[in-house]
Amino acid sequence: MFSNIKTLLVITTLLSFYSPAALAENYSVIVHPSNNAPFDSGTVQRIFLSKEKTFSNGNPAIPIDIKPPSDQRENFREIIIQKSASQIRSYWTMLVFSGKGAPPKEAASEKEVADLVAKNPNMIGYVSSSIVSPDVKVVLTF
Amino acid sequence: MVPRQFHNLIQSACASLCLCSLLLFSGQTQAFDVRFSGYGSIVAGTLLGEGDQPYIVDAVSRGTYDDEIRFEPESLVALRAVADINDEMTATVQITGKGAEGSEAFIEWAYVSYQLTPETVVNAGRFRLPLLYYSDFLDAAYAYHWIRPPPDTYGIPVSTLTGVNVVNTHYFNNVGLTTQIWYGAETDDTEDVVADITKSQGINLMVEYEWVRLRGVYHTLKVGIDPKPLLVNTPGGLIQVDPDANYTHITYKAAAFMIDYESFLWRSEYTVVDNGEKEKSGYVSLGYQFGTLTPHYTYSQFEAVEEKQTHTVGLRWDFKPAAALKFEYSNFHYESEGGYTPIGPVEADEYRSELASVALDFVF
Repeated sequence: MFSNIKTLLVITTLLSFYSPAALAENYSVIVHPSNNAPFDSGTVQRIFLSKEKTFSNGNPAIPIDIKPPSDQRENFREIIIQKSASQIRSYWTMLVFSGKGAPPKEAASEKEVADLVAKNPNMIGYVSSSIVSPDVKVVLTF
Repeated sequence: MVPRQFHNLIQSACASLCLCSLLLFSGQTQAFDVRFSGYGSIVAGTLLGEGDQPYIVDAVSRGTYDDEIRFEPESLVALRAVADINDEMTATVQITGKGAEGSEAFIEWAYVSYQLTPETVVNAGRFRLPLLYYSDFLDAAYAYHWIRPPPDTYGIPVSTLTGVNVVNTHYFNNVGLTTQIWYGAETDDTEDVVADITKSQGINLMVEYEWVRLRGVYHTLKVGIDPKPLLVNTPGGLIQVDPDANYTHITYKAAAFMIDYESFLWRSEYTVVDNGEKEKSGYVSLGYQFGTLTPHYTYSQFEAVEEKQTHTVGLRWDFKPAAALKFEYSNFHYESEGGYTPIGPVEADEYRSELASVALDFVF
């Protein structure tokens, strides 16, 4: 009987890693700890699309992407930007070639994003929630 | 009107100025970052009826389709280089080569940008006139669903301006307001006339909320059309006739209403051009994105001495990243009672024509 419970416990623990609850909120949008502006999904989307160029406290907003291929970038695009890859490319084509904007700079990895955001009060980026440290401030999870 | 030698000289001067300031400043900074990008289109089209009246598809390059399959009228490639002069300034040069202009590369944009505030940029140099919604990125076809924005509305003979423009974007809660103003002058030297455009000034405002964009523009200019001297055969021999230049003021007013709601797109614009006569044009376009396919339908109209109505159906296929294949069929009706247009006199005429085209648009 105990061995049955043990097996059940092992199976349940393994299953819990795949439950939807464990997968949600895996990513965090982070800013410098000194950034006290309020954020919602729409604001973050507009900053990364170069529509809003300042934080609500007036400071310049500098978004930073992760170089593809990147799971974090893919999820960010699907959940926050909510455009398909070709729609985003068309959007940047319009902005770049009319001289009105440019896509965000790209960091090589989420670790680099966390380092940059911790050092720059005007930067905003997205990382896996698991690598968040007290050096950065989480303003949104997705 | 097509840029010629005198114009090319000004463009080269602007570009050289940009490059010179680049080199001057680069001596003072560590290294400067030059970013290259570009786009292109390979387009083939043909009128479906034999012996049909040729169809001018681009008012600036005069690209024309007839009853043979043509690749030159709309094919083009453009290369853009942006370099940082310092923390607030960049220099941009964009060179375009168009099949319709014999693939002679010309400098379309050559300007310096100064970031005045995070939300305001001042640009000085040569740039595309941001007249209608698609005007300042008209050739970057990858950005939109059609092969070409309706020529009935976008048949504006001048596309660039040398001068200054200022752009500001500000968000009030969730509502975005983009304001752009400009002032400049331009001379176009063609085979028959020298068009001297001065006091070219305008403003456009765009309001954006969620999935809706509303844009309005007001632009005026003074143009002097100076026909070149002609040699005319008379009973007394060849004589030179030097017609007087005549000056007109032209006013452009236009409004655009655009929707991007999930997979649905709506595009519409209405334009009134006043050059002595009033020319009205407009279009409505609907499209829906099913995965990588975007079928669309457009109705466009032009009303002046000439009347045109066009129905267009097409399909955009995003078959690869950064490349789109487009198929389009246009059916247009032309009618005129005869009279004078800014380009010249037209006879009374009526006909219907069909244009089929395929395009490969890409960005890099």
